[in-house]
Amino acid sequence: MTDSVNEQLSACLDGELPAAELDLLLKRLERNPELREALGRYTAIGEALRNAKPAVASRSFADKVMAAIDQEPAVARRRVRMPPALLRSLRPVAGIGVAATVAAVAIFSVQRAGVTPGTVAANQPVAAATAVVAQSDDDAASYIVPSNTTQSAFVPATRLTNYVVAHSEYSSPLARRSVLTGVLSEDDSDPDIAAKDEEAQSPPEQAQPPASQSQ
Amino acid sequence: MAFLKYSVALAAVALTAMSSADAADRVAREWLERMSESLATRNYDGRYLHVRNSRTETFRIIHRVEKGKVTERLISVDGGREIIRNQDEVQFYFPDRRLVVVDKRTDDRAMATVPIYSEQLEAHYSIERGAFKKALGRRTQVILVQPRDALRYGYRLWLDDETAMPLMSQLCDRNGNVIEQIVFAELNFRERITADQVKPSISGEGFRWVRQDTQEPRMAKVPLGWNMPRLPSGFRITTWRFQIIAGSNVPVRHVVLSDGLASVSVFIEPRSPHTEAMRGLAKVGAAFAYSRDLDGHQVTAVGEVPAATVEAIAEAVTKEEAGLAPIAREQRQ
Repeated sequence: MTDSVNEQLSACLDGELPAAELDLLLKRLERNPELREALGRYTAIGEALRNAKPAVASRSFADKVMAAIDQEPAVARRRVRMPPALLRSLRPVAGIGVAATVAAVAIFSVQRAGVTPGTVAANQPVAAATAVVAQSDDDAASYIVPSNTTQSAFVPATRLTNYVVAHSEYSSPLARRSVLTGVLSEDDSDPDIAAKDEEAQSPPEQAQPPASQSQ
Repeated sequence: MAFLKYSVALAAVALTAMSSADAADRVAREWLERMSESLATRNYDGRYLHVRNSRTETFRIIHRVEKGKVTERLISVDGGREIIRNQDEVQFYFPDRRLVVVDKRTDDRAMATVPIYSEQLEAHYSIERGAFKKALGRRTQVILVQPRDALRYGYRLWLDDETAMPLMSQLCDRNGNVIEQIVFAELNFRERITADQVKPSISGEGFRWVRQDTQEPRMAKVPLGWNMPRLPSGFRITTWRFQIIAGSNVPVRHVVLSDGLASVSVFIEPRSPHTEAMRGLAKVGAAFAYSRDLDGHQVTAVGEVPAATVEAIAEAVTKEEAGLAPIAREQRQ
């Protein structure tokens, strides 16, 4: 990637890119996956650095930061403002891993969910969840701690997508945009979804026309 | 002067009334209300970047308001998928799968347009103003919607000073880690957007069409024979209905829960002997889903909340013994 593109990217995120250039950049983005990935890194890094000038971070720089973060004790890390955002950008699976490990669930389709079990941050939300229970007396009684399930099975992706579609109408406007974008998105989960979709659309489903009348 | 005194007194009353921990930032909430209004009432088109897991995708959005009726078109520039959403239905075009899914809407859901600000919301989120910042060449007000616990996500929003449109928004977890973000690269307000502009570019001819129909919402809080007595903190059932879901042989019970901002859907359907039971956690976009098998039924919770929350909600579902249903006057389906 050339420096000029780097500059364009950071200028774009700073909102300092002239309209014509932005247009050009978007076109390039549309054609170039590598560039898109770079932008993904920049956005988070730029945010992490807040008012500082967006850094042009090389992969090796990113790796170093990650290594440093990995070595920090998790508790200490919670207080640090910048690294978590960096961590997020550099190893996006961490947050998902976090939530998933709390649930202590056997996660089927680990790759599909983009989850890497046993991430360094695993113990954070446990503390947070406990705090919740302690914090609100009223709700403590009704709060249910997720139980452990160990069975894992394949969840047909199509049905889930259909559920998500039905659910999206009940989301807040912002959440809906993100849910719908997720449905449109060709992201990590989708190649699998598309593949499994073919299997899932087996004759029994197809034979059943979507009835419009409900009882 | 009297007026001033009155308003001061009123403000004091209002502040006392807000029982939650932080004195609510009223101005921040006004920003959110302005944002909701802008999102719903303006004609605009634009392009945004959706950034997740250090991947970026470009989307186009076209938002049309004609005589109070909203039509919105979302296009994935990279993948060619499209969504058209209007008062009556949402159409999903998946050219890559040669599939169109049409999801019926009923027009009764106030919660879909404006977030409801209530003590319930304040109890689970803090809403604050951040800095005034320059973003995307505009002056923006940063608004922080922060969850008070790990059961829900928050938002960081960069709202345009002039229009309150979210030029940038980040979905964050409790620790402020960004899960995904939407960055507008281009946003144009239009006097008018024509009907043609919100028509899909894909005809869908020769595609498989799947319709997901819905019934009017039920008055009863829970479907007969089902209950959710021990929900995670802050979540309450708001409505439920029968819904046709593609791939299900019978209408599915669709129960909607909310904590005032985040929503979770629970789908309950008798398990068909031909389909494999769904169990465990999955992810679709920013949403998590958790499925379990309960007494011959498939129970799935879906929502843009952390994984632990969908699981807790799915696990909260119980099946009542016949005759012990809490709402006896409900008609049988």
